[in-house]
Amino acid sequence: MIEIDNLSKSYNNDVVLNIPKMSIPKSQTFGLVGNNGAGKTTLFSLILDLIKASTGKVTISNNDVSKNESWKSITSAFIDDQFLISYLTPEEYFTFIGELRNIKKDEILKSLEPYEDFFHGEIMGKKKYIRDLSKGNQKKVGVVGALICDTPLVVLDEPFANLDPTTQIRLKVLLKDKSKNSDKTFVISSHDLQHVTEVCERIVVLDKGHVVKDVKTSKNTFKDLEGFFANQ
Amino acid sequence: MSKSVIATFFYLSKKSFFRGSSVASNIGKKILLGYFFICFVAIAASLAVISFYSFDEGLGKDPLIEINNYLIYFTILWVVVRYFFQKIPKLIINPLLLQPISKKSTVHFTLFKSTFSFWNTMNFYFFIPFGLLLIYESEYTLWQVSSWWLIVFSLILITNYINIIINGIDRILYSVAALMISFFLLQKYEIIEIGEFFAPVFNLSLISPISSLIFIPIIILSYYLSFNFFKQKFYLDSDSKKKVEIKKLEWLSLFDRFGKASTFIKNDIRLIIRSKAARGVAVMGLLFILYGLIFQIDLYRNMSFFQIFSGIFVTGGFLLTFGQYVPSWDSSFYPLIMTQNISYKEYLISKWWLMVIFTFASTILSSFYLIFSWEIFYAVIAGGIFNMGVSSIIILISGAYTRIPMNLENPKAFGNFKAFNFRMFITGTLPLLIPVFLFNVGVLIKDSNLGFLLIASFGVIGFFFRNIAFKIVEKIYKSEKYETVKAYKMIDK
Repeated sequence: MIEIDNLSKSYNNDVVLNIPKMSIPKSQTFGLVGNNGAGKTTLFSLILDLIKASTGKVTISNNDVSKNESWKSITSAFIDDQFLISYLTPEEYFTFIGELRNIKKDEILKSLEPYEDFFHGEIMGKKKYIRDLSKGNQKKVGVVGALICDTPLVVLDEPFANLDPTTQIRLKVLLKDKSKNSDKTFVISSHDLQHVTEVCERIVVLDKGHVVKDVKTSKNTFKDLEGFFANQ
Repeated sequence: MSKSVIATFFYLSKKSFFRGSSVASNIGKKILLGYFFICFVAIAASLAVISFYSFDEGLGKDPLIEINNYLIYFTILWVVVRYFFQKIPKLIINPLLLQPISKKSTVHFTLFKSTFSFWNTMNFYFFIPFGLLLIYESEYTLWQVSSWWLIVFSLILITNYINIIINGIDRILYSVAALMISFFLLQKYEIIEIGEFFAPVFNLSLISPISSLIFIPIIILSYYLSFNFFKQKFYLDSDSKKKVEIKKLEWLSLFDRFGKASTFIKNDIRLIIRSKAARGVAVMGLLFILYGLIFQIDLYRNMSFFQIFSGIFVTGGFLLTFGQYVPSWDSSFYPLIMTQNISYKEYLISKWWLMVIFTFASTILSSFYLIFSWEIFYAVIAGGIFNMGVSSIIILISGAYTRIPMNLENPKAFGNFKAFNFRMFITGTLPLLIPVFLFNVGVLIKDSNLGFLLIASFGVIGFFFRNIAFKIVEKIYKSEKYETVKAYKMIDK
């Protein structure tokens, strides 16, 4: 699904990310962990062509993201609040995203039904603009916005942050269920080692822009990661 | 207020200015700004000289008495212009709430800083030379002129503080608006000549210079009111208390026929209705429809140049005001747009449609100018077609370079020099220069009707070749994409 080739990003000769080669196969649930400044968001921004790579390229389905816009039709993402439209209600936001993907309004509203639990009655029909929702509820809207479109690739940056414990658990169940029962590819970053090891089949650890670990998740992964970060 | 607190505030302001993302880091831009500043001072000073001598020698009247007749209009203009353009001073509260600094000193400092804003100081460059001329060229004493200066600068400061209050308290905004409208009506129906009615107050400085001191308590009062207003706002949630009413806007489905573009058009209309900043600009743009009325008095009626001038402005008001911030209106969610299933081209076309639809509506609304003359009607139609076919593209191109991170909830987050950039200036003047040029060509060859025809046909040509234009526009936007995403990250909250 995603191929990374000789990718690096530097600001004024300061290399913040350098990944010679990495491949994320189709239908994998890919977890990215690392301390602040490790380069997670930089990598996501490069995947989504929001910043320009200093060298190398990212391809999605064999298309260089910086040269060809076709990746947009198979990708949805939620990175931060710049992926939300503050003056819309959640319903309008979902409809907006749906319309861009040629999904009718009724269909979109229908595809929201499975998320009712996740929303915990705080999102739909509340007569509030997104700007007036709490941080946690905004995050719910963004994450669901990325999920409902049925795109083969979903990129989520820190989906667990800011969520209350109940919602974190529900999101975990949701993501596990989605990755098991569909061939969607997930790329997820998180600071929460427990969640990310539970959800993802593969974990990559970034440190100062370099891949320092790339493992298949097993029983011991959480312990290993904890050990790794404790000794940083 | 201890000395060190003030020093700390100055330190913070200085840092926020020089480290602000929007301060041009390159020296060239600074020089350009400096150059414009000098030009401005020169223009203001020469305006003072020109108006002094045109009163004094041209009309043979006493310049001071004469200008005092207009002073109330100045004041009204200040209030109106400030309301629409001046950024109200911002309290940097969040980090300060828990610090051992009294609320009072923070508010005092904020207001103190606003006193020295360009909006106030720019008036010096007119009124000080004018006053000096009064001393040296007329027979006024320094004493009288100083007293007059005191009055003028009091008015400026009072409008400065009033602006802060009317921005925050709707009730006062409506009362001020009502007052202005009643002034206008009194003047219009010649019940009271407002200028002359107020002039005696300003002429106090001539009779007894000391009496102008009565303005000082008024300054203090307006300062005190805006101080209180700010102090109340000194809680994080003070802004969010107002209840929100959701407007459903079902009628937007009307636009569905425009395909994917409709999604964005609907969104932009929601933006205009729901965001304070966008609403202000859009309303201003539509008010331009009335702008042509100025040129319908007999003085201009027979000057075709002014008719085409109004034709461009009344139909293009929305384009020039709201349109120039396209796509900055989407700055707060630009990365979303960049990753959704819509190509850059489709996105740009939808923005173009928005401008064309609004320009079309403005043109229809402006067709009432027919009651004045056929000429202005032709000018409106020609201007409308030109704006739809050509200006819309030019404005779209300028949007690629505008890149103002827009805070949609703070209407005063722009409209200052920060946003200035040379490419914007060029693309901003082209929609006016081209039609004026075409018009003159038409007049030179035959008559003004040919001029209008030329302008309109350029519009039609632009419309037909828009796909070629879009290719160029798309290329420009693509090459600016990363810069734009980066710039839009810096939203001034």
